[in-house]
Amino acid sequence: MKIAVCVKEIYNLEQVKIIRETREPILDVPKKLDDLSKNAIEEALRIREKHGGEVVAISAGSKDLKKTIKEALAMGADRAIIVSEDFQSNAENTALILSKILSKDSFDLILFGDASSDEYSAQMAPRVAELLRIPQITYVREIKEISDGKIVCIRDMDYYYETVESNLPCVVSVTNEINEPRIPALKDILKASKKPVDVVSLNDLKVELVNPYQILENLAPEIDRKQEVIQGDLKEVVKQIVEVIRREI
Amino acid sequence: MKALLFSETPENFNRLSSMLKKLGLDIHGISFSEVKADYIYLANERLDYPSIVKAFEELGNKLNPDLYVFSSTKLGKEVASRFSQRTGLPCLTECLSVEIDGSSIIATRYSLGGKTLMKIKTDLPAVIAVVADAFEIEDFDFKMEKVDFEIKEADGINVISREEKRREKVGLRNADVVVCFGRGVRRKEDIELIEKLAEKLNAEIGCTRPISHDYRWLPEERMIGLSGEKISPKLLISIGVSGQIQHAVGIMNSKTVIAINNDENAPMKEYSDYYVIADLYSLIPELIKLL
Repeated sequence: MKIAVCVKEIYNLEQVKIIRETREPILDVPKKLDDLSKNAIEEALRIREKHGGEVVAISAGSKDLKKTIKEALAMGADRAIIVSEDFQSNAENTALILSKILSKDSFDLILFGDASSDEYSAQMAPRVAELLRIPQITYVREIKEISDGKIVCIRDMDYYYETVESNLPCVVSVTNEINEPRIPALKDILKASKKPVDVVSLNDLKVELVNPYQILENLAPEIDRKQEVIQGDLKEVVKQIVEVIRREI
Repeated sequence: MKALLFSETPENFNRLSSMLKKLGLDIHGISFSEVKADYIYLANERLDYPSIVKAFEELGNKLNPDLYVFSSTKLGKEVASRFSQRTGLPCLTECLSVEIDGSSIIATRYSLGGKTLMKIKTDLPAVIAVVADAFEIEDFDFKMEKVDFEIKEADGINVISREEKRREKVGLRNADVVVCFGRGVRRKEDIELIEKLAEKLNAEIGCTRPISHDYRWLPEERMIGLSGEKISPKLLISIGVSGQIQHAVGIMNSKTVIAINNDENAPMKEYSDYYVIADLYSLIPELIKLL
């Protein structure tokens, strides 16, 4: 099995602070591999353990990606192919870049997280599948079987579960319930820096980037909470809570 | 202007057709059952993406709509994305509001994991997947013309079986009082404590994603957050919830928030009016006694 896992680097959202006056986010924070990408890597590693083969992490991101991608390698991906330069980031451009990289090789299975934790738009897997003209199985909670050039998955949809079969090659996006991603040990982290990372340029890939979206604003909604702390003697605390409850309902 | 709408449930369909009518659009819609639209393409039920994308291509070519609209369910998002890639039209998913601005649309959606609200503009024609729950069903004069329509089977995937999720009717969205708990509740048996408190307050019970999706202690429809229910009670009592932003998005419209947490600096503090630092296991029984 030759498995590609398309992963995304995102800002460490927990560290993103908001400027109180302007409500603008401060994006001067470290980046990390998205948790849902880790679910996809983990699933690929489990398939490799069972069926053998190779796991290749693929990503398009900023200059920081050279560092971020090591998280995927430390988890156990064999190698990585990345674009690591500044470009107009949108679903169209990323899908185009990923599909160009993917089409240079012949992968049996292409895994994604079902969305990314930052933008949650869930467009990437279907877009890449369409560009590669192969089927997609999105929102997969369990991969039941891979054999004879076919894959069977259980999808977790809004109103139903669905068991779906597809021929390989195929794009599969996984939910965060599919597995518990492993946490690399120190030796794995050290080993990761020796694994091959192929950095390709947008020039080499000859992609024509587009920019159909105009962001008018991106501000934090106002959180106007009192944040009054209640603590101390349990009886007093309970009394205060009851007062608030009685007042509010 | 014209919209082509699809939703797999009549409720979402009607919410979205009301939203679109308000924008002054003529609504053509593909539906599996009776719904409110100007032109209703009553179709055989098919829930596989290849067939729905194909049907949209076919009707789209015929009607040339300005806006292609899906509900932002998982099916809606996957069809919207694939259709957008096939046609080269721009696509926005998880839209919370939509307005028409000349020959463009402006939509809002959460960004940065819900930390911010993004206002984003793109030219028509465009594809959007809209969070149907953000809109009410209203009484408009739709033309209600019915057309029989067949969604033909298209190649792609083979659906072997489908099992309906048993969905409990949960009144979270309209509840006046909600008691919500997270991973601070350590064992499944301890939910009894939460239930007793909820009973005293006549409250609906909600939970964070790990409780419903990882531990499966409560059904998914009780999950509050970005990918679950958005609540707006008079009073929310939040118990043992750390306050991840994906959860906080679901409680933003609560009037008053009391949070009980043993961590004095959990992110939940920022979303609370009253932040009670205490061990829930000693506090809740006492609270129940006094109510």
